[in-house]
Amino acid sequence: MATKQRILCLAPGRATPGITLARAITDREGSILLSAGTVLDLAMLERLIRRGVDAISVLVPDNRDEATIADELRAVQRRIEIIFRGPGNPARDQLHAAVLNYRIESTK
Amino acid sequence: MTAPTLDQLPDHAEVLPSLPEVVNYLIRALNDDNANLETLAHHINSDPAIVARLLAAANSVTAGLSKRVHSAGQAFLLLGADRIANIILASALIYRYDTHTSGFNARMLWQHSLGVATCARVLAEQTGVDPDLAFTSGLLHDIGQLLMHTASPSHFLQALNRHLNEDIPLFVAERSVFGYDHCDAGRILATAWKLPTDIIDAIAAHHEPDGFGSEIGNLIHVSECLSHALDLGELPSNRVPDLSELACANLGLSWPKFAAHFAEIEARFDDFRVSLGI
Repeated sequence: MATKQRILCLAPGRATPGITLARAITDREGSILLSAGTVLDLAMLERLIRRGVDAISVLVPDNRDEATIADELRAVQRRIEIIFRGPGNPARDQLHAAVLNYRIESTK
Repeated sequence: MTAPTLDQLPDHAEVLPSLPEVVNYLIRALNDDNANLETLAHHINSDPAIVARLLAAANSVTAGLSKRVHSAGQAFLLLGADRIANIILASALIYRYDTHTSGFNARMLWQHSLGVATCARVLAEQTGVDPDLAFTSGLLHDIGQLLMHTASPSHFLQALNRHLNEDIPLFVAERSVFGYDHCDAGRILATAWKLPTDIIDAIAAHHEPDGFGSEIGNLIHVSECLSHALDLGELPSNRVPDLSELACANLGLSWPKFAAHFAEIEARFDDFRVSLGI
């Protein structure tokens, strides 16, 4: 059975050679520098740092079982409720919804 | 004893150590087209402590690559002038103003400021504001707290305790103790340090930007809220402040759209924090 994977966003200097890109890397004009699925080697990672690429999305093994994921989801939702406690307004509510959605999607 | 008044703060500003020379140079370079790499390299190389911190940060930035950076020149080639400037600016401020007393730890302030600076840079890149100005303003936005703590540690700790115990914003607690807040104090310190007007505006406006009509003020206010919302180096008691509708509207911000940058902001913040060892 294929190992489950999840997407992680990190700085190119924190990635190790052999890791696979989850999303294409584009330059400021939108041209693709490296496409999704590329296995990054040392030279590629160094080039990305030199080009000023600050963050890349890569695939990492996901060894969590369903119960662990459910626990993590509950914990992130609880934390979001805590930090957004108190009265809001439409702008803060929109930020709240965006952060909650982001946390849920990146925890799944 | 009563808290120092706003009029007395300029005298207390003189007690704080002056800004490191390299920070002054980098801030002046924001508005100077003639600023160049050679002068920056000269400023860096003239201070062995800065070179040491730069190399430590550069080697941390490239930790996954097992590649050692041995000189400031190598660091420039690999990381580029913008990244170097950010590292130097942040590390020089963190080490110069590294106050530790019971109840107040300047490292926490700098960790939060780095979070705001990271949010500000990414927001600036998406909204057409100068990213270097945004980053620098983010780093400096809370310097008023340093001045208030220097002017009267006991009153500042009283405000911090009220903020934590009553779950009210720090600037509200400061007003109840001092009669003014760290936005006012920051404006006074930034003026004493002769910082550019844009940065003074950003510091003064970052909690209540609506009366200022300053683009950078709006941006730092929104960055402050976003940094809290993403929990960037925040305390367990973290709470997202009130967010100005007008500031978001003036920046043309749509949160569902901007959410595509949240993961990038977190990655950049973590990279920076680890590189600087905070």
